[in-house]
Amino acid sequence: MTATPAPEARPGQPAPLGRPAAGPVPSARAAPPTAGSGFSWAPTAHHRRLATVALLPLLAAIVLGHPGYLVLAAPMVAALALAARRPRSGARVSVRSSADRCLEGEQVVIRVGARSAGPADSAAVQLTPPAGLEVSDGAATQVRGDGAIEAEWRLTAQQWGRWDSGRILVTVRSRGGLYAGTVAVALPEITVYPRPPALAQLVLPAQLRTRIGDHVDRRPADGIEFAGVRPFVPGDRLRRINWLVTSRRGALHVNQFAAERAAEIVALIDATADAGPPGESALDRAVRGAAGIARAYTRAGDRVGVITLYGPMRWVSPGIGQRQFFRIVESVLDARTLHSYVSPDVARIPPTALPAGALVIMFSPLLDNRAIDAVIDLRERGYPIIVADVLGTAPGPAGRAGPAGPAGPATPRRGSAGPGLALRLWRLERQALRYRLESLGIPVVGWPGEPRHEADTGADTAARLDLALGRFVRHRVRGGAR
Amino acid sequence: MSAPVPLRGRPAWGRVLARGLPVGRVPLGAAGLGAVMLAVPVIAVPAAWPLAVVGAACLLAAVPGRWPPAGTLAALAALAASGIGIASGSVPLPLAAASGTLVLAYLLALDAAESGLRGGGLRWIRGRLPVLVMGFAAALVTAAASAATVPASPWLVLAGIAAAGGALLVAAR
Repeated sequence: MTATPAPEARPGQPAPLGRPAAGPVPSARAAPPTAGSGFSWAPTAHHRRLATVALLPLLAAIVLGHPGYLVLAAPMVAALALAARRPRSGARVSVRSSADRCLEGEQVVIRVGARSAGPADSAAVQLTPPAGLEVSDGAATQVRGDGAIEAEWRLTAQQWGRWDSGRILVTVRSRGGLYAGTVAVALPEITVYPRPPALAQLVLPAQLRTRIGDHVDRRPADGIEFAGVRPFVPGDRLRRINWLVTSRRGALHVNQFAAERAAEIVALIDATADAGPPGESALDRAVRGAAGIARAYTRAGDRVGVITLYGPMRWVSPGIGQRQFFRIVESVLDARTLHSYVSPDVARIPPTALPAGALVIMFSPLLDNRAIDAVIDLRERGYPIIVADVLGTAPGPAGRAGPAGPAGPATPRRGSAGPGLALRLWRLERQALRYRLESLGIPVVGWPGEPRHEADTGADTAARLDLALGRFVRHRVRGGAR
Repeated sequence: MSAPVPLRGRPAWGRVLARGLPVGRVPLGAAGLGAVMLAVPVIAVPAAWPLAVVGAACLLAAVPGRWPPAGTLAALAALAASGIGIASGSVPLPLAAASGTLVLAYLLALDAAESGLRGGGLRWIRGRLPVLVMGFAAALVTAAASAATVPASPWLVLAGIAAAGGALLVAAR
């Protein structure tokens, strides 16, 4: 994946890609300049070495009573005395980031300027990036000869989330190199949004609500899509009379048009359980999938909402527009920190957050029974539901969860008991669960890939979401009682 | 596949040599100073050659920055060799002053190598030259003072202790 720098917003210009049109985007954020208050000075290794080397002849002179040894110690003692005073000057440090928000895979440029208030030999800055970002350009430590330093790093966002744990360590050596002053400056918080997979085809519920939109409904109304011909009734517009049919049948007939309605989609993120390596875990995928759903449907003018299920539930009611996309991704950014032992009660979700007839697309690893019960409950309440199984990992041969390799999880030998047997049982349980859900009218698709059979190589997962949901494009997803 | 393009003009041999060596110029300079530092006392006291060998081994260990304490050990070896010479009387005090100043120069160069000095070498030398001069002057003054025969006096000892205390107070302020 080629990393692209997150573009900076400029006043008077439209917001760049992936940014909400409404509201200004802060282009750069600067940490407050740090003065000498937080600057701590300590003797350097050079200082300690001079003292150690001076000590040997001094001790020899005292112990042996020979003043000649003092001659050997004198140069080091003089060097120590010349720069013995501990400096008290501070440093001015400014930290700027090119953007405080970006998508996964984009780059953020961090610029640091540090200048010692007093005389200094050299200055160095060291960057400790936050966990979700990685230095892609520039050494972690940059040094310059004089007391001033300008450093620049390009960080590539690897994982969605709010990252504020990065810090910059500025080290200044005093004139003579006997003391080093250090100050740590926190990096400004960088919000990394999940990179949404592109969806070319949209899955729609069988019933579209009464809001005007872009999708053709079965009900006749004042749309532009031709739906059929019916006999004329008083009140019909004369311009809709189909004269060909009228002349053939001998009675007035008019054209019928289909209604054009908007869909209501709710992405349901199962945050009750997570498995997999950081960055590619089930929850990471679930959030990316929900972001993809939000972006694709908001672009089509549909109303999209999100529900995060982690025991209790949090939701964003369906809405339209690009602003809604950012509301959704902002609301799910702290999904990693949500933990609870409470069983979810879908009856508590208000109709504004989960409108009747809305298509629910659930991203779940199907590992926690609470989430499975919740999705069954929703189906029994008549909602059309699709479950995307985001578990891309399977338990390893030793029984621990690990990423499936290119050949998939280790295939147990026939007849061997132990870890292989446990893996087979686990696979059978997953198959049984999927069969049970599908028998209840809840189709389950694997994204990316089928965890049972295919290995997740992590490549082109976006296209695979399209493929996974593709089978529901032609036939709309039905809800209602079974 | 394109053929290598021949270089025009005379190659910069210094740059070629520096590029071919596994260590930079500053560590190399520090190692050279260290060699001189070890050689000076051994010339005066040939019996101290085992110390010079130990010092040279430490020097080699310290040059690429693999083991920083080795630099300190090399300096201590040089001081020990000079100390043997002072005790045996084969190293005159002015030579001991020069040896001590060489040790100081080596330690300064070692610090430059460890702190990753790449550019501004001339500025660095200009900054360290006063330290070296002061160190050498202090060594000469000490040599002169230790060579002078002063009658023992408790007042003189007291004055010396007071001066040392005063210097410490001034330095710590």
